[in-house]
Amino acid sequence: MYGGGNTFEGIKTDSIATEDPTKLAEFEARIERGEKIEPADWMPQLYRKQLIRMIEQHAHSEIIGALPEGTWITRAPGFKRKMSLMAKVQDEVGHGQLLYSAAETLGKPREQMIEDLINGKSKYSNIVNYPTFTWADCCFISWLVDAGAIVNQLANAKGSYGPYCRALDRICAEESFHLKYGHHCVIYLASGTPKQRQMFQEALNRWWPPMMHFFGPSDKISAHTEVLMRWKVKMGTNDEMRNQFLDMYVPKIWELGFTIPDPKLKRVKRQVSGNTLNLIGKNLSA
Amino acid sequence: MVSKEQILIWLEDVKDPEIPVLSLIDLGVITEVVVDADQVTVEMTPTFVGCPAMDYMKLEVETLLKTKGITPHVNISFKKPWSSDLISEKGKAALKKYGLAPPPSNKVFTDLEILETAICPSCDGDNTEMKSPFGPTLCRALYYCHDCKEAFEQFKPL
Amino acid sequence: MDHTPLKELLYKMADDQLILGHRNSEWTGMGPLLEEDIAFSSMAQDKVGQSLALYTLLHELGESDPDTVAFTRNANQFHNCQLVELPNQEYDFSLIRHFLFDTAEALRFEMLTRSSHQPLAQLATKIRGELRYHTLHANTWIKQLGSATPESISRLQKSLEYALPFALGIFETSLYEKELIAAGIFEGEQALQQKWLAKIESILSQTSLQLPDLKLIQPIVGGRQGKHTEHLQPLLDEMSEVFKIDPTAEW
Repeated sequence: MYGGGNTFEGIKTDSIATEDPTKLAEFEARIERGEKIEPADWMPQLYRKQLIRMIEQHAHSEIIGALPEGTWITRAPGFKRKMSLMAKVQDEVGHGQLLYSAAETLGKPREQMIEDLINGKSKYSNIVNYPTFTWADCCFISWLVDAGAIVNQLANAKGSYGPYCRALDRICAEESFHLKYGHHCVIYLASGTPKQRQMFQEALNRWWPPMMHFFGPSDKISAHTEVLMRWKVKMGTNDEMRNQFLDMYVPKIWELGFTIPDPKLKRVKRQVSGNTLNLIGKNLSA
Repeated sequence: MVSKEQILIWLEDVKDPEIPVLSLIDLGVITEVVVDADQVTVEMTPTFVGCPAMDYMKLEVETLLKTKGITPHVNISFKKPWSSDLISEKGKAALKKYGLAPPPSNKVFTDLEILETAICPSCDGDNTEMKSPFGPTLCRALYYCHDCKEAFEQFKPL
Repeated sequence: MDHTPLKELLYKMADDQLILGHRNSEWTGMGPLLEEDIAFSSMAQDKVGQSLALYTLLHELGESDPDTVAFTRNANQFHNCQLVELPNQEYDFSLIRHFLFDTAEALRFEMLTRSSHQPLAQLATKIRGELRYHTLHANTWIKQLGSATPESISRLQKSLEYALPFALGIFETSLYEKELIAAGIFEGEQALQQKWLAKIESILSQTSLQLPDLKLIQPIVGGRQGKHTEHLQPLLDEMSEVFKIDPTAEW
């Protein structure tokens, strides 16, 4: 689910200067050629540190993220929903487990990561801290928060660190199944009774702002970001991820007849790789 | 009227919703296809009784056959219960390539010792250890490979 | 043919699975270890799925559809034993209950693979395989924690003593015991209890835990007749909270 928002803080890039220049050049050449870096391979300290941070935060987000949805397992309406939700939340905890294992390959034991989580030293995606007041909130998460996470995870799966990419490939395959489940739940609310529609509209109103924050603040391209992108640790800017999400899901939400609580959002023409496409965004130039 | 063989070929395109490399035929959850006069009947059975993907799999089978102009009867039952031995050799190879250890024969499962190690799908070694008989989904268990220093999952023998 | 005895058997099994599945699922996100979190979630999923399959058999015998049966009855219409409805409490109690109940459940389904009611025998064959993982899990932890530290041993011992009277209630005599045995549907609660006792004795003997003399324990019965503790109705209210917003709506 929630591998979203690059919430990690920057580490100073000074340490690169102390790395062995030959090894560093070979490392960068390998990444440039599209090779994966494996646990036993040489890597710069900054790369190791930043990956631990990123994978660890991702893992924390998965297990904390099991809570807001998990509270609805005992209340899910009907067997079909109950069994799917159980399976889904369990998958998320399982993803946490896979991700901790991936982070452990970089040298930080899981116990340490959990300890850092409990004592507040590690961050995780803020969206999982929001409460779920109704079944519709749970449906919003299953569909749209998962969708946002997939956008991030699909990008990160093309990164350079082997164990993380392999875990993400597996996770993305499972997430796409969750997404179908979440979408179905929302379709049933949309085509249900007025009460059901109202429940989802209210959930949408509550969750839209945190959903937008999920992708992180607008990027300031620093030297730090530039290095991480070259090393394929960070695979896109926060704004790119957010826009991709809007392009894919805003039309689907509109299609179901719901109102997104952001009046500035509209269809705009945007240039993507030289093509003019009808996309979603805030038409700032107009 | 189409042949059973043709239908089986078409059904190759319906994959496990969480393991995109594995067809339902290779997974062994399609237990029978009967072509009788104008009616096509597909018998299916879940891997685990609580498998939440069964409805989706059924729908996918129906949707695919409809694109071929067939409206099938799809029945779900436990008449021929699923066992991990029903996964085809092709299916096992696909699982391994995908990074999931294929299940050992369920005949040896009466001996629980067999569960303590699994063959790592990445290095083929057995310097491995079971971490939990319950993995992210009902049908998988969790292992750790001491040589690769990575966790992996095994499709459970059942 | 009168299906009343068969239905009574199916109802109590289905209700046991549903209610314990519900309790197990309360561990999702709360387990003491990630692996245990996932284990209890998996077992919850299995049990709820198995209850659905049993309610489906009942539906085929003319009862209401599974959602209506599971989500609209009140506590006095449920036939689960009281053991499964007790709150999870600490992990030690959850583990002991898991061990005591799942051992009985696995043996029950094992016996039912020979049932004269074919659909039940087929389903039992399937479920028996799944339950191996549940008893494997329970036995592993009981053996490990039952011989680990003074704290783990004394906690488990206390939970064992608390749970046993309820556990004996699993085998509450059915009104239709004779009919079920005569028709070859089920070999009976007494036969099951004997097998169960032998099994739990063999596991507990490998630990530092002491099994009290069961002859001195008064079983807590009534669950099979709809008599429950104060914990069941709130559980059912929670389970049907969304469903009851509008029972005619599709969710």
